[in-house]
Amino acid sequence: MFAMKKNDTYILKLILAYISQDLSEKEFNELKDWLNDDPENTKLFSEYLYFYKKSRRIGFTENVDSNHAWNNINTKLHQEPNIVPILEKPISKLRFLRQGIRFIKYAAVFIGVIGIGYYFMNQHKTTAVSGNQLQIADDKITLELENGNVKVIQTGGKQQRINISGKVVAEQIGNILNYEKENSAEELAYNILTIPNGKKFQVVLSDGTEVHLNSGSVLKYPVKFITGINRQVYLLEGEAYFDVAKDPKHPFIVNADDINIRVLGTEFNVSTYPEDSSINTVLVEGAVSIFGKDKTYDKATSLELKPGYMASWDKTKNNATIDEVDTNIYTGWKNGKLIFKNIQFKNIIKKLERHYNVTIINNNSKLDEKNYDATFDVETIEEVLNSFNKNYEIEYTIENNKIIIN
Amino acid sequence: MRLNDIEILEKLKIGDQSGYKDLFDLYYIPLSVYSLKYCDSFDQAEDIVQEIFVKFWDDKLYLKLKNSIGPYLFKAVKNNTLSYIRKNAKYRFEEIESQVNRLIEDEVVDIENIEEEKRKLYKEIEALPEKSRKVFKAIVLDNLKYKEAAEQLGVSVNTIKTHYSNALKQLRKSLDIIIVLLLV
Repeated sequence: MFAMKKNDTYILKLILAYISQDLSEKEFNELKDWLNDDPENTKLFSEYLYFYKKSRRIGFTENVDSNHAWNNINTKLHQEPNIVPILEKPISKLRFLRQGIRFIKYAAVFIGVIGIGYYFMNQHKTTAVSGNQLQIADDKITLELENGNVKVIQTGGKQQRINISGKVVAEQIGNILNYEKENSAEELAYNILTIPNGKKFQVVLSDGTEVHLNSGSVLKYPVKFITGINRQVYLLEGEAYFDVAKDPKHPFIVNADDINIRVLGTEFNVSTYPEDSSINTVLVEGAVSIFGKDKTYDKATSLELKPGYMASWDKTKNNATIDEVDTNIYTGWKNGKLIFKNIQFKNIIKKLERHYNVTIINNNSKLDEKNYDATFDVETIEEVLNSFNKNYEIEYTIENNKIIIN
Repeated sequence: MRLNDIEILEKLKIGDQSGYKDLFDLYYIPLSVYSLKYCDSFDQAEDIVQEIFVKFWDDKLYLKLKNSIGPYLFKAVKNNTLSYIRKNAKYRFEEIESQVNRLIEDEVVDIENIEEEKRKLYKEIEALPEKSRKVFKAIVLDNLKYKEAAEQLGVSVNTIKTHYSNALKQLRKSLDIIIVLLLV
């Protein structure tokens, strides 16, 4: 086809043209014929191509401008496009949304850990923070037994729980209390688990149902469930995440104040804190029915909840509303997160007190009724307060082991 | 510290937008480098990756992902880049291209690895005659067009091409490459 003898220089020119995608059909065909002439040619060509591609990515990483790319992406977003460009690595990342106005601030907080105390060094001259040390009390998780005795649970090790007749009914390892599975009980005997502020705990009931308990929660449950009787537990206060073991013959019922939540086998979150105006049930998986505490379950009159929805039972109005929600917002606490969505400042304070086991006194009553959204990950209470200070100039001091907001 | 996929997904699912920046920090460059391998255009590679990042956020794709994000992103980048090439590149030796691309590691794009190669390459480049070195840097590393390089160096486009081929010829074997002939 091509009588012309192709010399190296000419071939190299073709390869270059190929690499630059700057070649004619004629040149492409010439190159193709040359490649087909000899496997060695393909090898040579591959070497050039390989070297070129490798070099190009070196050049790319030298020249790429990530900040420009990041800002470019953000201008193209259609959903919530106002992510602030970030040029420095934050120590602590916090997100605030205030009354619908969304913005992000990255708070760089410096916590010096000296000895056993946390010393707070505030960078803002405007804040009147004393160098006082905040000492957080280590309140104990307790278990009230069927005979009324109260035992302290040491989360450090492994312990066995023995009932009145000397039988092992549960074993506790670290943060999990696990009840024996085999079911021989003939009458219901209740234990009451109390989780103080600043702590979280897990219990596995005798049917295998896992319950995560948030700070400031009290759960009452039978040591053993009895065959033929509904599995009923009582969330007397606080917040719990239930992963209910499937047992269609024995519906599982959680009583939370005014309501009963009935399930067969599913995952859901219930919170019934005194400061909240409603009892909230968020369904993660499966199906639940909600009905009044003095009523018996009736499919026709109870409220059915689908996964991804939240039922809010208004404690004063005695009615329920159902909303579609992002369930992660309501279950993040299991993983140590603290998430507020449209919560009044006075209630945020209560939740902070509970989460960190601290006392907060707010003298600035104007703040009380304002609603905030915020997400905290593993921040200390000082970091949380400091972020409120930076974002809203909320001033506070630490006096006599209390946090005072002025 | 860079977060992993699971930590990022967790953040995104609870509405913590900083997870999106973490995702960008973790994947933007590796994905762009990955796209570049196929399309050879700095701009096109970045456009493709940026478009995928935008889609990821706008369509809330993180809600659908369970344990990993990387495999999804790399796959999306590859698909979009290949479909771009099919539309735009006329003359390609598909088999050789994919053979060579397979030799260049992908998902494990490791910036340190690239840094190491960069040191090696620069050592080789320093050994080139001055003009070849400048042309190679301008065209391959700094992404200039022939015409732009010609203007910058005050020579003709043909001269640029000559220096460029001289540079390539000399550098070809510098990156420890063993091409095994698997092509039939």
